[in-house]
Amino acid sequence: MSVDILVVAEQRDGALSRSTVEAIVAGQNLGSDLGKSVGLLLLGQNLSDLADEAAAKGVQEVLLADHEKLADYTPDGYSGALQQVIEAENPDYVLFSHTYMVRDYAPKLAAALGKPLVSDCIHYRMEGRAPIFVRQVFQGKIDADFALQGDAPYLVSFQTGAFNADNLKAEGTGAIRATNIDMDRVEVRTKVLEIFEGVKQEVDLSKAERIVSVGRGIKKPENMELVKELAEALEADIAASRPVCDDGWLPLDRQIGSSGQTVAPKLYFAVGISGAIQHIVGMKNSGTIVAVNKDPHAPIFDIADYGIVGDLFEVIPAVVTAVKARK
Amino acid sequence: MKIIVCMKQVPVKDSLLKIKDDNSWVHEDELNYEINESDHYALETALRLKEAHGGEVVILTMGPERVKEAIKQGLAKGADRALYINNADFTSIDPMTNAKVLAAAISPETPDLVLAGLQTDDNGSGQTGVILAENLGLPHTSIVMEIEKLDNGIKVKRELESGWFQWIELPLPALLTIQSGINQIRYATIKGIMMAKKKEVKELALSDLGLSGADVAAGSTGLDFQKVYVPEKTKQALILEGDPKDVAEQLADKLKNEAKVF
Amino acid sequence: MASSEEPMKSFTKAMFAGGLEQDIVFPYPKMDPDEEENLSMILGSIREFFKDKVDSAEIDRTGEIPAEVLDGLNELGVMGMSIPEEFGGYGFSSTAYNRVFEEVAARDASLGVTVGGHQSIGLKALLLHGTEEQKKRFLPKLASGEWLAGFALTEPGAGSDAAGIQTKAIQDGPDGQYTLNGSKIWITNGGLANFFTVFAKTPVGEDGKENITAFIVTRDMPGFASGREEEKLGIHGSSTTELTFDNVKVPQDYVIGPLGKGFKVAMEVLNSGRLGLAAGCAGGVKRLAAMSAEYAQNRKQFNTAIADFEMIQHKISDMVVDAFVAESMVYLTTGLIDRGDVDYSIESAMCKVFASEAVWRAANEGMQIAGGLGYSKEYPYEQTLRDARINLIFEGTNEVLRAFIALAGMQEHGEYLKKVGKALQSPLSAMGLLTDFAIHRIKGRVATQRLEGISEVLRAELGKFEEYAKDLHLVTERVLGKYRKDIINQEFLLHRIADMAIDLFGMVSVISRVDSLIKEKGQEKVQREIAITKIFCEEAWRRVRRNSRQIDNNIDDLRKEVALGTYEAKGFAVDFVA
Repeated sequence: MSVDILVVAEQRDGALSRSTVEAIVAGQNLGSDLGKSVGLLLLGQNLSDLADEAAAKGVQEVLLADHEKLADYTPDGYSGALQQVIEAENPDYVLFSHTYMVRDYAPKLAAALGKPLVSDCIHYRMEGRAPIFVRQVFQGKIDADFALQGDAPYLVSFQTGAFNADNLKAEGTGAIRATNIDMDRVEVRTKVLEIFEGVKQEVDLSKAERIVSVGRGIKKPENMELVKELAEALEADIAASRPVCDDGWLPLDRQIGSSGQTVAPKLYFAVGISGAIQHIVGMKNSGTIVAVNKDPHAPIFDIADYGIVGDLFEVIPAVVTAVKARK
Repeated sequence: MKIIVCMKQVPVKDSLLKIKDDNSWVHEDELNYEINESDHYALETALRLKEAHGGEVVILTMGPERVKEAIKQGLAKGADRALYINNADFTSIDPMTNAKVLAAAISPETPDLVLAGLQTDDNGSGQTGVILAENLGLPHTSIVMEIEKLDNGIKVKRELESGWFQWIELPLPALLTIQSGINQIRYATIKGIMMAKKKEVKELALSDLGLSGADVAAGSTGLDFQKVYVPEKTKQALILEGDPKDVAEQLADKLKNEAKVF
Repeated sequence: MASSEEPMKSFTKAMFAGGLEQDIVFPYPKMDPDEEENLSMILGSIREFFKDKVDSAEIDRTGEIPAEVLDGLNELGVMGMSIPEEFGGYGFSSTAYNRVFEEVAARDASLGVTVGGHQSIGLKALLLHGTEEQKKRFLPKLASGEWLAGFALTEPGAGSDAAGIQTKAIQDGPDGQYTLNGSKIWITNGGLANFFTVFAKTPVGEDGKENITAFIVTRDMPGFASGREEEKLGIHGSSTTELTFDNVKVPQDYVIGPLGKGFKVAMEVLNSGRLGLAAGCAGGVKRLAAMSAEYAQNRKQFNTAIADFEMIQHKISDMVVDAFVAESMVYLTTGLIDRGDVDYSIESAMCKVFASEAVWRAANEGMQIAGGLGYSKEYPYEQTLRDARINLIFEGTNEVLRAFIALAGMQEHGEYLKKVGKALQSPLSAMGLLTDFAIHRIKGRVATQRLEGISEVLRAELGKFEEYAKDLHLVTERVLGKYRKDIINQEFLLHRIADMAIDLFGMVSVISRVDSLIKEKGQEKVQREIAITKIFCEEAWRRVRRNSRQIDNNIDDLRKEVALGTYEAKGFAVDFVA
């Protein structure tokens, strides 16, 4: 037996990551649109426990690429192993979640296979029998459609959050099967040294109920006072987009986005944040989103509930006053 | 160390983008361009490595005539020379095609290190650098935040998710994709700008790279780009109107009474 | 000011004398394309640097330019732009130098004044008249910014009256060494600079007559001291101090230029230095226009963006027109410096007066558009207003410069009238003189009163320019005939004549610039520039006409009476309740 749609899993702390489950949901949707079976591929070492967990995720089959050379992630190791699995299994689609790891090896794998990769897709839609994959260009301001041609397999990665992990159809138990990979053929040229946490996360913003988050629009560190006043008035925690933390105006552990924390507070108040994808993936599941920005075309307005187009230096003090008056 | 830096010119951040009537791309002639942000950091990284360890920094870029401006900026900041692939006869948003062309230009140079930005601010696929490594047969690391030179290779800090990092050792030659913010980009000095003119810019046509039109034909890799369009809004933000005081009052009401967040 | 050698031709002097030297102002000077390309990259660097590193409000608040900012400007190479490459600089043309300077000054006035004090005037005498040895010794340090320069002319008793300085240099030491005594005030970069161009009186020649000479004084010389920082209305970050010289020993080879010719050196330095100031002001107007337009579009009143109100539109268009005209005048004049064979002294003074008043108007209207917020320290308008004010005062007050513009413009003409007057008293020799003059006019300048080959769309504007240029000539002839030498005291008239000249030079500058733009890009592409030309010329010729009419028909006597009466009363003598 072989599967038509192969989802590549990623683990975190010995369990399947949430983004893997999202990718399975993508696979299930695509499978039902195309009438195709879905399988999950695990890479690593000593995968048996994980395989049992994976088998319960509503996939027909769980494939294992189990080898000591895969114990630590390396692009050479993963790409080499995957190339062998894909060439042997010959699925129609190989799906990934667009994580930092996938970004590191999937393009290499695609090049080695000579097959196209559409990366960081936000969704797909069916046009006749063929899926059209949609990804964002110009930092989220514009969408672009891609179809895939030529002989399968096709590689597709989906943005974190593109599919909701809660929509997983976890019926049945998939069969578990070890793949034949010859890791002697794979030369791993990079050597993994230690993995470490850059900044001790002292603030866990994922538990915050209200967050006031600040971006490039704040212009100068002195202007942070303004944001602090707003946060005090709303009894909110303060966070920021990457540039603000890169400039040292707030500690790195207050950064929201793909390289920082992912949050989902009841209120997310974005001040001077334009809304690059890297930021949006970290906060788009927030309850109520407020955006204040000078640029009416800023992508942040596409996900906001309430928007104010204007000069934050005028608007924010007024909001502070108005909020205080209602307490 | 001989370092090649791949740079692309992209529309200035916050440009007002207008989509062409046939949805084939955005109108480019009204836009201003700048060096892609992470490529700019890649250049700075190369210049610092050269300053610390000696060697040569070569800029590689591809595009219409206008990208010469980016080349000159790179040379003004201290790159030694440039390779310019004039793509007047083809354009591609397919990373595989672009990597093929870039690889053909890099191979004869036999560099010790190839640097590229993590991703471009226009297409943003984040693939070209990594494909390039595969095409050149080089080991690579992406999303690099720090580089240390070792006796027989390099040690790099790679960014992982959620504030985690990893140290990785690579032999040379190698390819790295550089994350924005890895260092502080220098300003082109008057001296550098005036010296830039004297530096070599080698212009290459496809045929100079041993490639033909068929090698870069749209869709030849299986990736079929169809169109661009303004995203449908999944959520319609309620834009509050009025002077600052007005909108602040409206917002506070909504937050208290509708959203009930305080 | 007039040199004894064959005088260089001057557009404005010719205009006063009744001729239009088309080749001086047409076509509008164009930069070398390579230099222009470099220049636009340099401007890019400067803008990035300012955006990232310079907090103008902070400089205003603390009264200090952070070392990091000065180091950054040094690193960029800003301090050596005008210095030749052989001495460690970059040999910029006057146009390129002033364009970069404009960018610096428009973004932060304190930095502008610091850079200008260094380069537009501080080291300029050395550049123009220094010996090879002096240049080798000092210019590399000044080019890198390791040393800043200052220009020390003004004294407690000699501000606008530069000839009245009291600082003395006596040659009484070994090896021809001078001993310098005296003091200077209001010296830009006084507390920062290591190198000063100091003007002092020296006995010259055998009769011991005193004349001004320029000296190099360095901070390390014993007896040199700079005083405390002045507390000023604006440009808080720039250093302004007193300098004192207490028996400072200055080596003989530290004299700049010929002994006793210091006044000429100082005037030459200021003639070119004023252009930097004018360029900075033009940049300031541009910045204010952009800032105010943005503010007006964002600010809503009566449910409408105030940008939609015509009173605001009037203000914004005035700012844009002023900026464009100031720019056109300044870069026409820097072009004259770069071509090297033209006397630009009057033009640079006109640029200074026009641009400094334009930036003051723009700062004033910018604040008005911003309303109450503009008056608050939270917004940049009040700082801009304070910073802009100095420009009407320093490097020659606008009053002194207006007198200079009118008198220098009439000077040649006056010389002629004097001779003609004599000739008419002795009719026998009159023939010869008149013939000489006629020949001089034909040989010395192509005296046309019509400009040729200008774009048709600017015909009306050009016609008005030609008409009123001729009027200026006639007015000049008339007042010189009437007042002769006493013209120098007729300041009501000098003011009007200077204003006529400034408006006319503004007109010809924009007409030339836009004519060149039309020829380069086609009329379609420069509609806005054409509109600006039409707005300015329409208002300018009406001002010129009014000034001209008021030469003979005015109320100057009444004005004089009121002023003199007030002096006499030693107070306000017409109070509502005494």
